[in-house]
Amino acid sequence: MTRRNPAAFCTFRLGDSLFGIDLPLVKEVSTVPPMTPVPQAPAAVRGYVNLRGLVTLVLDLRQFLGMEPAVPGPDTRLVLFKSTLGDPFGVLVDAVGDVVTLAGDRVEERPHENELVTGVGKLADDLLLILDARKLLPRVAGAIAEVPR
Amino acid sequence: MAADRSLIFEFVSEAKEHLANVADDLLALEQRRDDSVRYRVDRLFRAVHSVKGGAGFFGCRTVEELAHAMETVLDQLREQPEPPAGPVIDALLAGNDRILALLDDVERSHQADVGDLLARLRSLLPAGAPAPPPPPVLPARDFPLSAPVLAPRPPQHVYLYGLSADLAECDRGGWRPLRLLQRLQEIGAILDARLDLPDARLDAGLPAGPLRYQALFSSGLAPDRVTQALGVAGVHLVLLEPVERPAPPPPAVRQVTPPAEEPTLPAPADRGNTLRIPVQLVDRLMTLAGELVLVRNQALRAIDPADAALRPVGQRLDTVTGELQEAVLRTRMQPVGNLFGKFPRLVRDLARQLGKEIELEVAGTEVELDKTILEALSDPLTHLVRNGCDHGIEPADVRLRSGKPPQGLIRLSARHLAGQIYLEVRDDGRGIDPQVVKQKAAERGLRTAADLARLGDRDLLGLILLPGFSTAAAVTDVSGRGVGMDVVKTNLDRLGGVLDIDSAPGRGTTFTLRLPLTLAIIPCLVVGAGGERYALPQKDLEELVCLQPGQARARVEHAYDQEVIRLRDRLLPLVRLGEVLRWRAPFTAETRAKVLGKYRNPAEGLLFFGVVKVGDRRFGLVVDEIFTTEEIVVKPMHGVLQPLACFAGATIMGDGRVSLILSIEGVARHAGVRFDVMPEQALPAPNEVRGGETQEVLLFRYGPSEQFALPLAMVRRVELVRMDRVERVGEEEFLTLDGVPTAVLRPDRFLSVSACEDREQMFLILPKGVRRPLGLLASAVLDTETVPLDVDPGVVGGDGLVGSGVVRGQLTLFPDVYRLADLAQPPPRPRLPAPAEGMRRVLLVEDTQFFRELVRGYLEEAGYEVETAVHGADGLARLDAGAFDAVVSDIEMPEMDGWAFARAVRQRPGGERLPLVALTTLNSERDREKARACGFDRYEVKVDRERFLGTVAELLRLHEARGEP
Repeated sequence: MTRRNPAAFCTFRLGDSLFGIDLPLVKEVSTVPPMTPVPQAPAAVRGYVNLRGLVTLVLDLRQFLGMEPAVPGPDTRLVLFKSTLGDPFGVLVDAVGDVVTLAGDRVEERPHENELVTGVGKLADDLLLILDARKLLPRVAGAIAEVPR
Repeated sequence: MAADRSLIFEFVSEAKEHLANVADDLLALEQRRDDSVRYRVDRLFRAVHSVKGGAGFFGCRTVEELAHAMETVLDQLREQPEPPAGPVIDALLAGNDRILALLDDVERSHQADVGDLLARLRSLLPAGAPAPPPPPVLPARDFPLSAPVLAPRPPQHVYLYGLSADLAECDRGGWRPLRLLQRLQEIGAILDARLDLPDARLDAGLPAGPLRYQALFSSGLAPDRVTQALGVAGVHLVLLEPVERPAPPPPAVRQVTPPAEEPTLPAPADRGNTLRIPVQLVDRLMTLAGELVLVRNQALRAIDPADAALRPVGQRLDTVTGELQEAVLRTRMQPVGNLFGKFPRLVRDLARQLGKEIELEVAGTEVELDKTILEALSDPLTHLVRNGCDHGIEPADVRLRSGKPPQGLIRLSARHLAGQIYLEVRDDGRGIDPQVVKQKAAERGLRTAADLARLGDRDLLGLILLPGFSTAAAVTDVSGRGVGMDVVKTNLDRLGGVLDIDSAPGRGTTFTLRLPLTLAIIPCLVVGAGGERYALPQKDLEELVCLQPGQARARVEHAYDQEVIRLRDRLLPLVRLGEVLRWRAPFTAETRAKVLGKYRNPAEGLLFFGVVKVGDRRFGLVVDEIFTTEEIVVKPMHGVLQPLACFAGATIMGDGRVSLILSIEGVARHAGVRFDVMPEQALPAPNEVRGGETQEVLLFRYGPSEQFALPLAMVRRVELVRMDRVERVGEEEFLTLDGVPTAVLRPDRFLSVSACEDREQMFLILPKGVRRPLGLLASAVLDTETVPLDVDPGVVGGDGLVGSGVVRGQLTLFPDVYRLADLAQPPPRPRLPAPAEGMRRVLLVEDTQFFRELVRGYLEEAGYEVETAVHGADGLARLDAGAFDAVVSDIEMPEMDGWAFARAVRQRPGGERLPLVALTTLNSERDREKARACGFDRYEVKVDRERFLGTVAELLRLHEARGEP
């Protein structure tokens, strides 16, 4: 299956791979403010930060993709999502890349071993793993629901 | 009903506002409170009509039908001059209630059956008024006024009518032309109209002959409704079929037009100066204002307080930010009147039902309270008013026999006092007899006889708040089912409120509800666990306890698989916050065993815990650290984290970092605290007056966060002082009281408590028995209160505190005045370098008498001979008159300031080398620069005694070394 229209992606690196998220879902990219952990939350919830007065939840995207937990470094950034996805939240990424626009025929939507990855985009010299940001919060909710209460 | 939900929501809230007024107006009509029957009926009609219009627009047929029936009855009332009879009011009130109920679940309102009410309302109409025949249908182009059929009209106006009327005939039938036009405006919009005027002069009245009026108007109302609304002799109506435009526009178009634009909905009187704002936007404003406060704090820290140019900017930023935050907070406020509004109706209905005569008096409706609190107060207040009507007020004959007026009085009032809201429900009924309460409590086994014997009257009254207590002799429909008062108390607890009961048998009862102004900002204690800070709401906190290592070991015991502690001879379960937060799943037997094993041999160290409460149950929450109290802005938890019951929300702390707010209820549930292992069930709150000794304390505030208490026995007196009279001497501040310089102690200088901005006037609390005159500065003196003598050893603030306790629901610090006095005492003075022989004449130029005398004292004590001048010009005159070895000058002075003085000295013959010291409160780099440029040798800030004298001595030595005269 291929998409028809060209689409823009916010790209970033996690480990050795290049990932992309639909640009219209991204609100902004920020450096990482001091974090307050939330006890009892799943490990992928790294904590709360204060972004200009907005209490924002920070998720560790690496842990959703089966990678080692993120170790914040100088290039680490916080990709924040628009409120259409729910209460304010963002994900930690190892480094942000450019915004890329891909013609419809450069994106192939196909199932991936990780259900967060919904397709693969072909760049000149790299592959772009396209993530569905809408699935992130439900994943957290699911992990919380697993704990008996 | 697929219309945009937010529009429907708008409609519902607006309709509710209309209907609230409807009930008021109906009651006023019944009581004939004023002569404006006509005015009220008109207003009622308009309100019900608006609701009908909106309901029709959104397709809420049932509401529309009911409103229509009410409107028809009201229309009848407009015709009759006398106020409506009781049954009519009853039916209209019933209709009003039903519509309100339907609006609560507006999506399903069409399923409701309102047939009975419709029949009841219709039965009020005079018989034999048959439904008028529907109007004939006519193609629009055939109506004389067909031109503007295409004229823009509100999209919900799906019907187009043509009207021909003989205004003269209408007038004879009691419809003046103006009234007809008003009616047309009410039910629709006039698109075009024509009046055929005869030659006759109109100023003599309407002509006898026909006066033809034609109008083309649009409306959202169906033909039968319009016919009914215009059922007047002389009016002929036709329904026009618009050819050019399809009759009902597609629903999509209807949805996008807010009903507010519909001209048939008359705007409420205050529409012009009020605004409907989504709560989310207000919350966002709150957030931003909170953020601005943080920025302000950073800015104020960055600004050098002595910088004359920046200081005012900082102060202004400070004020504006404070006012902004206050203004934003106020947007959440609503007048208590919104809540009180329903009580006239309630009391009327209850009085009828109970066969009593009861009058309701309402005061303070303008007092404002947070919307959330207001909504949550509705139930408790209703219960108290019901109770007053049922148990309080006696039947008329009983009242007459006891010499009271037959009519009972219930008084609802609200007032604002010391940052809290006081709501009062008072009745002049039979009152509560403490002895009867005592007997009931004994019968029901709520307290042992021994306990009861110790309780005073006031405490006995408090027993009616216990679950399972009811004093009503007969269980009635209205109240007295043994539930209620405890619910009132629970609801109030949840809001952080307090309930006081005062009653005089035979004279009446007063319930006083004391509440915080808002729930958006709550006072919290900041505690540490696992290296993070958490906010613990003070409403859940009763006291703080700190146990020394030895004590901890002796007093912590194990009951089954739970740690308990013996506190004042009662056992209190202990929960360790760090452990609760460490385990994702609620504690199981296994978890408990592990946790218990870990603390079987507690490490040496202090044990901090707060006594917290869940309902009536208390437990000890062990934390690693206790920081401070802080007023925090509550923000809800992120949506996906809502299941984490241990947290009530998050907040942004003063340093900009996020902290989690603990939910004590959630923590207790997570840890599975077992209260049943306790031999004594309910532990009395430390403030409940027990058998033990008590003391009177003076309650006061300094910064915004803390409440302080000082035993009255230690207070000599309290002075209201003006802060512009305070003099600074180095680190210390003084005020002259009765001619005695009195040291001013600011609590935040020695205790880690919040700072306080100076106001024009503040209070100085002067303690007894201090070695040197001093006073403790306070921003507000609240009250005196009786508290237990045994204050728990304090942990908040540390050195300088006797302890802490909870007084009036607030954590309260008991400062140790004598320790504070010691802390404030400057260290003994070191020996000073003596001035060289013959180098001892100093001129001191200083305008303030206080400093003149102080600095003169310093210099003279150090062996100098001092002459003083009160400003620069005076100083120059003294220099002319005699020789000086050094000059010390202030900068800010009248007549001639320090800058000009220094320049003048340098230009004098022999003045070029004269040692010249500036001694000032200005302390910015720019000021130092300027001082150098003007010719000062040294620059000293008022007043570090040792440093200053060292400087003078050094200058004189240099001067001597250079061999100058």
